[in-house]
Amino acid sequence: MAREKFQTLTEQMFYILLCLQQERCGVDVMAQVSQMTGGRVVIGPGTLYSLLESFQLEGFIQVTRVEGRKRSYRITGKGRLRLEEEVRRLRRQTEDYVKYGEEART
Amino acid sequence: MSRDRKRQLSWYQPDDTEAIARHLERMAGKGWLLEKVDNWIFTYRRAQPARVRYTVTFFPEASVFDPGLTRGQETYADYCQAAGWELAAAYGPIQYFRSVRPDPTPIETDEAVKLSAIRRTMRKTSVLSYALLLLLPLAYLPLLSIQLRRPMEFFSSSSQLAQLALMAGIAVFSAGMLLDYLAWVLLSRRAVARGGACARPHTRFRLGLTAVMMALCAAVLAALLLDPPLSGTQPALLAFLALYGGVMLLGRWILRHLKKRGVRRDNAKGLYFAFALAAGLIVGFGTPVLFGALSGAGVMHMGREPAETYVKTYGNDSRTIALDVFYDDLPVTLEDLGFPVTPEDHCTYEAEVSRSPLAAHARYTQDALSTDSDLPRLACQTYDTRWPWLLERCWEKLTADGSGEPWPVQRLDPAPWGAAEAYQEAGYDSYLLLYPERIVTFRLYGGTSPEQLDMIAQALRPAS
Repeated sequence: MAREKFQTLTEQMFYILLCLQQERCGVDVMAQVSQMTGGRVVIGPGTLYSLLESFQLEGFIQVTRVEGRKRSYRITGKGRLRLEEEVRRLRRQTEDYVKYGEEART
Repeated sequence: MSRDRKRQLSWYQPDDTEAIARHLERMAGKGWLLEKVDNWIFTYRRAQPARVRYTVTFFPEASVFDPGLTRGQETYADYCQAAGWELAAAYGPIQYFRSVRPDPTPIETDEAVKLSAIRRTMRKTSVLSYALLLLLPLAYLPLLSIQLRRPMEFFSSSSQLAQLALMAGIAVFSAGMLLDYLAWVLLSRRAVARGGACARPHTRFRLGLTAVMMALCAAVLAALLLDPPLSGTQPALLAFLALYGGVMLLGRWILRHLKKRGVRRDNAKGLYFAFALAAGLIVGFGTPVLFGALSGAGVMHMGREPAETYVKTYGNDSRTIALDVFYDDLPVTLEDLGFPVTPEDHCTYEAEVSRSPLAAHARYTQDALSTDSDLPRLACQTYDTRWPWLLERCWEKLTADGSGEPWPVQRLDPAPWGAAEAYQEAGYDSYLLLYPERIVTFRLYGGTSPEQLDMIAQALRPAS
């Protein structure tokens, strides 16, 4: 089920993994995603918590530091591969749009 | 409750998050902020009326048996705090957040994640509860099939009909809630798969079903307490309800105490279920034993209170037995039939009448309790109903033996009694009379003269 769930990353999943290329805690991830996207992508705290747990279970991220209640995470090799795969998928999608979209216009 | 605290019963289902949030917002507008949630009870504290936003979220990993917030819940609450949400209360996996910001970031921004959390939580809370509740009417079915073997007693007993109504109500209520939830899951899954939001639960349907169920429970309780044949067992029923209520309260107290003492989830769960099992066994098996003992000791009388008690001596060793004596009004007595009844016969006159909206059943007996008495026993029954199918079913039961085979009966001419049909049980002084809305049975042990027969039948025939 989890494998199926991450076959395509949602925008929120994508940006969480992107953010965690650097070590960050959950609260920082929320702020960083908002900043990176100019407020276009907003991750709710409940969704963030669930996704971080799921990513951890899937081995996409790992806990790097625990300070009291604060936990910091970082993307793993597996997570990076999944992120790159998603980028390639998005790039192919964009290329297809450019190619076939332009053909249709001419 | 002090003037600064207020408790309220919540009628909402836990997954009806929008309705709960709007209710809590209305309460905040009236100056009551949510402080604590304990099962279905919301506790508020007084505050300045304010515009406060509420949202209800689910944390499936948490349990009502946790001594406090789990580490995961604390982290979740920290994230929410950073987004402007304060944890107002939590009851197991259900969390209630509030925000004073006019437009805070929603806690859930991914409907698929939200749906998954709701489903995982509901599976181990409401769905489990309703599934278990549905077992109750299923377990009642064997008892119902036994009760239906005596249709006269069953359909004329308000308490047994009330029991049936309650079980039917529980079946409809729990199945309705489960089906509504399943429909909601299907609609939500479809909507989320298309990129939409979770479906809105049918709040009105759920509230309506809950209200009907509560009204039914109250009606059943009233029927159980007011049913005349149960008059003697009312104290027993009240004692049972009090005992049951006490056990429930004790269970809640134990859970609160275990939480306060910081007992770990698994241990608390084990202790709580051990208590529930023990309490179930005590209430289920201990109550009849207790009432039996109280009745035996004369502290509590099961059944009707007798007018007096006759101590009968019998056997070669002069053993004694205390017998209840009643002086109820009977439609016909041995005196009416010309028998010389004296006080030394120690006759008891018993009339047991049960009445329901469907039927009425009366059983009359006159017995001479004295060993020295030569008086015969008089036993009559009338059964009234306006429902032909019921009358027919009772007639079939009366004219058939235990295996369903017809009794050997001799058909009599019904005209002298104004009945539709009349029978005499072959070889016995037992008679059956069928009227359009009444069945009459009577028996005078030791032989009946034609005049006595006529007198009994006249006394028991329906008023024209």
